[in-house]
Amino acid sequence: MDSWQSDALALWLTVKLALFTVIILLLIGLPLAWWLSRYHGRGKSVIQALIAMPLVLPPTVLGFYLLIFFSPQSWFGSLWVSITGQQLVFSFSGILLGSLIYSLPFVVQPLYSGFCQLGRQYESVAASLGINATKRLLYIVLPMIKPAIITAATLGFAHTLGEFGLVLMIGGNLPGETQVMSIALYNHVEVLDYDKAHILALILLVSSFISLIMLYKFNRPSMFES
Amino acid sequence: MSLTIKLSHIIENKTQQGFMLDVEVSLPVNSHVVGVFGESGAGKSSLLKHIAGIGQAKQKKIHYNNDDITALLPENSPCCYQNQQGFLFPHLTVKENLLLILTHGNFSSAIPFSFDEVVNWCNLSTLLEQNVSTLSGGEIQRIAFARSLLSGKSLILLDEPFSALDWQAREKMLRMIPWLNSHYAIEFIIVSHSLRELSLVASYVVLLKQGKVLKQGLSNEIITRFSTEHGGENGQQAVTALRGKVVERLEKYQLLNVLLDGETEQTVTVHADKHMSEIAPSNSVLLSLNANKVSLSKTKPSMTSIVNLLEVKVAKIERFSSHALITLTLNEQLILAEISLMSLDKLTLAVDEQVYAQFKVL
Repeated sequence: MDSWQSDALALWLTVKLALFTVIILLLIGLPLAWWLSRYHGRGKSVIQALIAMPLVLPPTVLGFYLLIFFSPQSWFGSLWVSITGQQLVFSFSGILLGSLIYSLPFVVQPLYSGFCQLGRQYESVAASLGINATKRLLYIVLPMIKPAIITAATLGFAHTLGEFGLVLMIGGNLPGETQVMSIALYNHVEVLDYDKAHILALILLVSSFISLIMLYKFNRPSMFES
Repeated sequence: MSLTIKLSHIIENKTQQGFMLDVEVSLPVNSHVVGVFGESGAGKSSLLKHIAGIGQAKQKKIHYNNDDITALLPENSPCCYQNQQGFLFPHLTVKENLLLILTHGNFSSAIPFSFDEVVNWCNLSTLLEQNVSTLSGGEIQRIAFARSLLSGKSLILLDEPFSALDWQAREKMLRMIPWLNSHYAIEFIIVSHSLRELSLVASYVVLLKQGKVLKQGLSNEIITRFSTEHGGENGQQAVTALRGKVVERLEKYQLLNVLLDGETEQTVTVHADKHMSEIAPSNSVLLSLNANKVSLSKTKPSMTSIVNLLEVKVAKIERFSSHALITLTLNEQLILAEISLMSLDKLTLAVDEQVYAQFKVL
């Protein structure tokens, strides 16, 4: 395959992976962060530590365990094969699942702080004014933590773009299936094709920089600080 | 009938003294605007939150018009709790704050007045398009009150609702409450640490002290007796709450004549603009009379600029370090007069003596 084509494929795959990861993580992260902000039981620190683990763990360590866990020899891997007919390792579904775990803290942490900062006062006031729980969520809670949602989505997206070690471990290097940009970049460097490496590196650098600029410019979470 | 509360709520706290609220009380909210008075920490706010279903307590029974509302969620309770801070939703404009409640509240379809009327009463027309972050504390409180009215709930619990307003604006808002009560049958319980404020708005008062009901009754008696017992302590001015009915309008002077409740027919003249005259004539009015505005005379004064003159009887004379407080009776109502010790000695007042109490237009 022409290497320009394979680079374009890697770009598309990376964006697809990041988008899927962010959307699924927001769906998981919102209820999880909401629950965590209201939970004050004994297990709270353990749960928080579990969520934050990917922040400190080398991606290869996480990738290694997931590779074992996803392999058709494990109960989870074989269950996946029997349900979907495909194996998880070296597949897009595999790296997507890995990314979900890997980027989880980047989405949950901002949402958790958003819910904590919001507190329960506004909800309590709205309830006393006769607004039921569903409408409180739709018209008060979600709009008020919008800055936190945007932060969570941006960080989750940008972080998934730069994923390398974990994808390499569980996804390998299959063009169109698991070869994301950071791996394509590594391939170019391996064969000393620095021109193509420059282009990929620059795309990753600029897109990360721009998304962070947008985040800080348009998303000032000071809206409800009184 | 009305609202009965049985509540025993004790929080053990290792660092501070345990907080306790132990109340068994029946409040005549359908015939009176009820005031709750007490020092800070007496449990006033907690009491209101418990009524609204916001506070958690194991031993609690709340009945409202024969319905047990103890277990209702706040959104289904007929009570709306409004606190001092207002808590307007900061992501919405003033108008959106009000409309959110009007369109989505569980009770708001039943409100007997229009959105525009509420905006007009609370004087919000110039604020509607503003963002919440640009508002002053007083504006926030007025909007929060409008929002509570638009909730359509039948019992509104107000916790120091107008504390950020200057006295003139506060008086205007407070005057609206008895009027709303008589015209639209909206019931109110209002918490305040100011007797003067309560004397303007509440015709029935409950005194709370350290989580217990100390006294309750008609505001004239409770407020007046509290004033005499505490003789101006804690910066509280001695004040009297009087009740009467408007009998005459003096359009030329923009004054009203108010016939005080009771057998002997005595009238008091008050400023018309303070009594909601621009909205609708209010028949029954509450008057707040500061004790230091009342002077006494043994003979009937004539040719004086002071308009109000009442024939009263001396019931009690108390000396304090800087002044004397005279309790006077007029029909069943009590009036307080704060006079200097020098005047007291000069007048040589005696209990049961007939005197004239005079004060300017209220």
